[in-house]
Amino acid sequence: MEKKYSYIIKGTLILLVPYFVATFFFSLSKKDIPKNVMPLYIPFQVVFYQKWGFFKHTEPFNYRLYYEVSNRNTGAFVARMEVLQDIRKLATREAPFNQRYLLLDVILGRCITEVLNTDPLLLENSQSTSGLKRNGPLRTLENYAAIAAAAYHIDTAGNGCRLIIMQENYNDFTSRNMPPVIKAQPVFEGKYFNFR
Amino acid sequence: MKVWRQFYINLYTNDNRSFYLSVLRVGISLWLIKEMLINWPYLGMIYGSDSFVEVSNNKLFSLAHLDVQVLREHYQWLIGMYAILLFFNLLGIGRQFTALLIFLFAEMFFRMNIYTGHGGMYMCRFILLYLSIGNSYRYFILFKRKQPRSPGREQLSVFFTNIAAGCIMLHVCIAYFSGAIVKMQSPAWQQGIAVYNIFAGDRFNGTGYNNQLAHYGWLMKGIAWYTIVYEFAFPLFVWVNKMRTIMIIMGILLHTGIYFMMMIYGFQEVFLLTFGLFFTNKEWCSLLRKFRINITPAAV
Repeated sequence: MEKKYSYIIKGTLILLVPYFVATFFFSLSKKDIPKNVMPLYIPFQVVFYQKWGFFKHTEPFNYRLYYEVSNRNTGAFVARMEVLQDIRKLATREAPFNQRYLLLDVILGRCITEVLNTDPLLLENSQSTSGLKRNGPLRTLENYAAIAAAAYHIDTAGNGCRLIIMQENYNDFTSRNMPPVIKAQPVFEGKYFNFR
Repeated sequence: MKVWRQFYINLYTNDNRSFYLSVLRVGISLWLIKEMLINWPYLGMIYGSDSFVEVSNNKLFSLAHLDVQVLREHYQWLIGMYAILLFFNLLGIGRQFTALLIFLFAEMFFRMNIYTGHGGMYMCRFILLYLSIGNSYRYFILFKRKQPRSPGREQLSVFFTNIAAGCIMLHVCIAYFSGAIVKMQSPAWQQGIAVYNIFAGDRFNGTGYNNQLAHYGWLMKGIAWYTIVYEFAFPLFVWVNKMRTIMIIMGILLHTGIYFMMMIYGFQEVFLLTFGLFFTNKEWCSLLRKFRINITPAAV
């Protein structure tokens, strides 16, 4: 074999070793990554983003996304709509031809998780009237309000809206054979905003 | 030492995986076309600038001096170019250059809407990257090479083909193994609680009767342990000839189960597609011969 080709082969093999070592370590949970390689974690994930520990944490609850609509001038209650449960019911019913509902579910579901994992102060700032530091996931949920209102035939003119994220606990594993008890509690309540 | 030497020589002399690598190129191109078609009515929602989804510039876009808002304003053009490239890749036109462009496009679309990314897309991006270095154009192509390569270049081509296949196989194994480590450390997985939470919830209710199945504790525990054992065993035993078919069958069962029970489609499709790479050209030849199908490379 010609020398130049031999160098290319050896060079490629040498490059692949650290690449796969990094791929292995950086696909582990953060706490399992050796501390001395941690500074490389972010640069590596920026370029080769991947996450393989699916369903690491699963919890015995469903999130519910409520939009509470009220009159902008009087503050009178107009309607309350929950969107996530309907989307998921339709996804199950229409499977496997349910791409629209799967997309909506994944977008809204991930935004809810992001909002709940964000510092409340940052969210507060995002909701202020100046709203300079916009929080993408929260904005996405707020933007969806107009689409939900149209789907539920709720008039947006003259009305405002706020979103409420509820956590609806169902029976946990140990009480799975008991009569179903659903406990709902709000985990996030946003400020009123105008439909966009 | 002798074994390693032989392994090293085999890397550039034995073309072991080019048949299935070609199948994978066609399969991944078709899968990406399918993904584009099923998302077609919703492309505006996913990538459009007037979508309700708010996306900010990510670090890679900033490094590449790309503005996500500008890309979203012109998403139809990008989709059009991407569709043409996928069609080219399906037929082997443009070869590795097309594969590299598709990788860059897939990477860009993936980052234009971070919310809709899934495990299948994560793996698909890497497959495209590896396909862009290997020769997956020995089979199922429209145009043959006019002139054969020099012996040295041919060896280099064989080497990169084996490396591309090896990288994909290794990446699949890493994905499983890291998943297994995460699950093994979780008491919720060991006791079946994690699977119960998934089945009893409404997010992954693929059948409509998952909630009823969740009542069977032994079933939840069984599924959890099947997943853990499989994810641990696959990276170790798929390389052992006698165990390989068992591992692949276990994988097919797991992925089809998730597909129908949990409505997670793309991830299962991509992982199932990669399984064929664990068989060599010779094994594929002898298998297809049983069905009276002879495979011969279309290009040198």
